[in-house]
Amino acid sequence: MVVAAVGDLDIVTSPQLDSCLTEARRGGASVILDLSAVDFMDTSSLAVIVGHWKKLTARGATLALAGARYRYTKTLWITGLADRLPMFETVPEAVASIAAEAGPGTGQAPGTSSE
Amino acid sequence: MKRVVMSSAGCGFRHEAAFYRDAAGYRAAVLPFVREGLDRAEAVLVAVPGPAAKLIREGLDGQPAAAQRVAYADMTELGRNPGRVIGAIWDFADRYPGQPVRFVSELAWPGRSAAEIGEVAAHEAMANLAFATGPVTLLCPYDSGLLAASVITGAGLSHPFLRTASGVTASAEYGGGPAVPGAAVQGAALPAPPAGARQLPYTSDLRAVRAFVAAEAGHAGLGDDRAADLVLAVGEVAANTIRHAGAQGTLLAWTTGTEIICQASDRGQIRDPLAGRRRPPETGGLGLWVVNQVCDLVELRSGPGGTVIRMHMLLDRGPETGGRP
Repeated sequence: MVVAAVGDLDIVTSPQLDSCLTEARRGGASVILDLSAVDFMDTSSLAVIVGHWKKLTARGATLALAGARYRYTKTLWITGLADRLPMFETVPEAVASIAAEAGPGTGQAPGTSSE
Repeated sequence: MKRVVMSSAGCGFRHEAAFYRDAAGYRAAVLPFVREGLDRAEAVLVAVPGPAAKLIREGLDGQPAAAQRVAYADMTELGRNPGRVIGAIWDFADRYPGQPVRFVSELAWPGRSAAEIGEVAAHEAMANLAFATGPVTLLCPYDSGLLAASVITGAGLSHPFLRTASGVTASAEYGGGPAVPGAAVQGAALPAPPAGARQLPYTSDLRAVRAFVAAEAGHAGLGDDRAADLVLAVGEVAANTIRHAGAQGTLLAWTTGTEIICQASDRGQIRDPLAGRRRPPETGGLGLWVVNQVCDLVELRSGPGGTVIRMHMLLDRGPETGGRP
């Protein structure tokens, strides 16, 4: 499941991000958060992202970030999260990596869908 | 487990000042401190302005193996904002879990502004709080020939120990133990903003806050990357106003010859004197920490009447600080 965020991620908009990611997690599989159209990101949105990342990793899935532009999402680097979360240049790269991680021939686990 | 108590050094926190007047005096105080750490197999980080690092490197030349265990940092970068230094010491200590670490910290170089020197003094007092029980030994060299007498007096008050060429003694002037009252830790009252400062009352409209800061940074001639840093910093503080102070705050912006300054004030109170000085373990409370990482100077004053946070950016600096490309 891909969630695309657009515009500013701050304390006012992060509840919206939270509900989108909650919705995306219902699919059961890993989630990709596309940040390529994000123009601003503060630490309240980081808290939301980390919360969902932890819930996903706890059940063997993950939350991958795609397309984060350093200049607009610098908080990811300042706080060190860029080193902890899976980060990809583009959404297709994130999709490919998650598919490879799942491994060839494993098929789909019950209750998951590819997107 | 065997309990080890050491009388002179080794366990727990020790915070020393050294007052020097020339290169010989500097070497006589700092080199024995570094060698003492190396003899005890401690990790040593030397964070001083560039030329001083050269003196220390040269002084350790005869001990190439030992010198390799000393890390160096340019304090004019790392400690440009003194609010970053406690976090940097903890980060260094965290790389050597369970081991004592030693740190040479020279923050008060001549030429710093009065506001910067005030924050250096606040940092020194807060180090006593932050490391009260940590396995950290700190030496803070002060140039007593070039710095104002009041700076040297202040350093005597905030350092429990003094180091000279002949050894370490307890400071007779030291002002108190770890329970330093908040007012002393926070530093002096801030001078009033200039009458011509631009003002923006804000509520929860963070877009307006960011646009105001971006416009002020543009007028001041702050570079794009640093302007983005200032927008981020003010945005974090304004988010705290929304979170903790009923979403009612006032933003002021002005420039001096060398800086753009943004000041956010609200009715909230920050009770942790170390807020923003140590990397929070998880994602809560990161805002003030980020503010310290990106700004050149942060003055935080908080009490029952409210909180004022003044964020400074130098206009003639390189493209950016903090993070990584």
